[in-house]
Amino acid sequence: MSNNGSTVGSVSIRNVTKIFDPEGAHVLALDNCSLEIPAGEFCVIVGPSGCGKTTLLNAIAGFHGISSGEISLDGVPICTPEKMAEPGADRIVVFQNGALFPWYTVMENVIYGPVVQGKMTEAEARQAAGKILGEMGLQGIANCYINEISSGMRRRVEIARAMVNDLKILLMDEPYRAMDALTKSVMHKHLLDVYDRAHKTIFFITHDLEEAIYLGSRVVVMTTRPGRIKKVIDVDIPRPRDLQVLASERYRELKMEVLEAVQEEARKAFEAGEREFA
Amino acid sequence: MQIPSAKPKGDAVLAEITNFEAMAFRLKQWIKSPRPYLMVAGLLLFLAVWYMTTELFKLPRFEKLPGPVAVIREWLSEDPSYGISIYVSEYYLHIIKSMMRVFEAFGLATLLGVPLGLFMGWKKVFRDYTFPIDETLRPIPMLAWVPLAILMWPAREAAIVYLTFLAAFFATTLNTLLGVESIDEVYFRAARCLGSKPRHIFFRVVVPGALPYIFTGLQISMGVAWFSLVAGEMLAGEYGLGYLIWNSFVMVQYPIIVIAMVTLGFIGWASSAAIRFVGALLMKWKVREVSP
Amino acid sequence: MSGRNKNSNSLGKLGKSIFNISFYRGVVAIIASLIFWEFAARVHLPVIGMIPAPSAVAGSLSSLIFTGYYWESWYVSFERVFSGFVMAQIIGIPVGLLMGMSRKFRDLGFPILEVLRPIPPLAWVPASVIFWPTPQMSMVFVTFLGAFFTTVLNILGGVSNIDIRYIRSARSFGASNKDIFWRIVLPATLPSLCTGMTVGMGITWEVVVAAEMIASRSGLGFLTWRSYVAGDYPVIVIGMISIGIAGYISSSIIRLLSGRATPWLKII
Ligand SMILES: Nc1ncnc2c1ncn2[C@@H]1O[C@H](COP(=O)(O)OP(=O)(O)O)[C@@H](O)[C@H]1O
Ligand SMILES: [Mg+2]
Repeated sequence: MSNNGSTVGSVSIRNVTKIFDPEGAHVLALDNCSLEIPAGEFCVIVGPSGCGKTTLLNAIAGFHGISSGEISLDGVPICTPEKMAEPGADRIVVFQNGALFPWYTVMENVIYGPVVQGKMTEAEARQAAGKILGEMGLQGIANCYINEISSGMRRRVEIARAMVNDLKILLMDEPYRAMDALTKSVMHKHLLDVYDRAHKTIFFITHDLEEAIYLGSRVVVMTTRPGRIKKVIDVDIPRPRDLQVLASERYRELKMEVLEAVQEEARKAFEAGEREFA
Repeated sequence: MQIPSAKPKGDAVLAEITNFEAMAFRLKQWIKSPRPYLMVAGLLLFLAVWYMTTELFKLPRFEKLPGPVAVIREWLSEDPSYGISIYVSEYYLHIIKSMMRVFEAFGLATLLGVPLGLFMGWKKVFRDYTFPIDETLRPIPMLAWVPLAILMWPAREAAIVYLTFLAAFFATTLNTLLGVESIDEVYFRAARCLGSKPRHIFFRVVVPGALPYIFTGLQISMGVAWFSLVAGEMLAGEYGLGYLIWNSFVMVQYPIIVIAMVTLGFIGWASSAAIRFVGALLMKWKVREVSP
Repeated sequence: MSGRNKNSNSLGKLGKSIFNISFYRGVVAIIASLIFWEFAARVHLPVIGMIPAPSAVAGSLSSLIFTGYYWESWYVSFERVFSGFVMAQIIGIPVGLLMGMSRKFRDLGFPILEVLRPIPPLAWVPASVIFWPTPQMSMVFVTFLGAFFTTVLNILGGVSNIDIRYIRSARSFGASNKDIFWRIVLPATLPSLCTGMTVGMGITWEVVVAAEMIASRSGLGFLTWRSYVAGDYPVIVIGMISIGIAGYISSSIIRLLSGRATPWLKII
């Protein structure tokens, strides 16, 4: 069920520790984290603010290195203390506040990846992008600039921009934060559709526990800083999922389980006087 | 908050029509409101005060200044008493000379300053070596360079262009650098995620991302170019509007001073407007941002 | 623990900013430019070689610095800058506020402003000399013009950008017009006023220097110009550097006062 039939995109995180500014402030952000993500899994990470979720994602994406341990993708080590990962189109990030280029139209954004990688000519890329935009119901805004479309649209375009590439894992850092509940539920449906269609591994960070269970195949709860893996909860709700899931008994049990794990950490974080980190 | 749905293509056209109608409506409202009349009244008031103080009542001290009637009579005269009017080719010679100088200096400053600023913003090592020199020279007002500029260049013409160039160059370079620094780090990350090579990052992130600041810089650059040009021409020019002002002062042809001042103001304003126009053309994404 | 962390962090940052590689690169760049400058002057490179060498400048400086004339020039220029600048604020701030708060005044005054503004301040020098009885007054007037438009436009922008919610919120607490002016409009405009002053101070020095060269017989601008006319070239460079330092001191003062006046803008 969680495997989705794909063979690429398995990530293995082994004993990863990350210390920011080792000589100066010495912030221990990740402490000996280990996690296996099988190919094609929808893996959701939850945890209190500032616990190191983004740090972990950035290490996989290649935006910064790690202090010890190893991260490998499909059995190939990509990130070690000696050598940080190179950012590449096999691991594409959907950023917290969005990173669509405002100086390009929706279409130009979506074809960006294939064109700069030299994988397709511009015409081919336009065709591929048109197909993906069509599948996502976005063809009508292809020639709009980013500032002209709503935040919900932007998220979908950003996913389209990622999916048009030949990627192995989609990294999403609280993509639906600061959205209202209605928009969010539309976004969830859309992402579930994309997931069911594309068979890609998804690494999804969120604060929202309902979202975590509704979307994920597994929910990984992290401790407050220094971030460790506290608990991994299997979400054994069959796919394709729809809103009915939210009314089911199993969903409520799972939610209770995650809530207990997270609340304990949130309280600790609060008592440690952690400031709210974005 | 709307539930997002795919917008059919027709919507864009519709939006444009409604925009146009809204514009027409706003124009009508504007004409009905007292605003345009107040604006005209403001300008008339200014002219009236100028006329009354200098020509009608000839107040002490004001009487020495050229009044609007004298200026306009001279300006529009086919046979001007001081030799400058719209019918005299020398008038245009001064205008063209000044415009050529600004054009050369501004063009050179843009050609050198924009790439330099982009490069400084993009390559930290390069910035580390160049920025301190820039910072050391920048507090010196551009006009303090006048004597040195005359000394450095064998010809007066080159000195004036150099002076004009210098002011424009600093403004352009600095703003371009600020522009690159203003680009959110997340765009670089996104670009790298999507498999960009350094040249893609330069041409597809750094350049378009810095463009709004570059154009702000070019506007400032154009302003300071005219500013310095006038000083340079007053001190060292042969021809040009700044020279015309100073020469008319020395020769006691006061109405010409005002003619040259107004001409300068108009050309300076027009050149800024031209830059704004080009900027709007190149940055459709910025322009459209304003209208939701 | 987090407190100690913060401390060591800021200490670390300080150490890094003084001793980091960027700093050394900057020092290298400046020393290299000085050497190149000296070299260019000695071998008489075209154009750049015409600038008096640093050694010659240093030689002149050691004698000039003990003359009363040099320090007198500082004083005269500062006085002009200060008078023009202060006048520009005294007149510009009320005009800007009035135009910002009353639509009628804005509509009436804005076109005049827009017509006069594009005329470079130095183009006013002759008219100013004709009008004002003393050269000092005409200098100060041109200086005033340089800062005046910037002040008015910045205040105008500041007032029209005040978030309407502040005013509504004040009204809902029962604030009178007077309260709104003193407690909302004025503080909310302060940051743009400070920006305007910083920019205005820069323009003021530009204008004073050029105006002194064009139409005066005193001040740092004149000192520089006279050295050129008299063929005492190293003093040109001293004049330029002095003007640079004077301008820098002035803008530092403005920045310092701005920081004091708007403590809420400090980044935490
Ligand atoms: N560049 C950095 N330097 C020092 N500390 C950092 C840096 N980036 C993040 N941190 C710290 O690491 C911790 C984890 O951050 P992050 O991964 O962003 O948390 P979150 O789980 O909210 O995404 C936070 O306490 C943050 O203060
Ligand atoms: Mg985060």
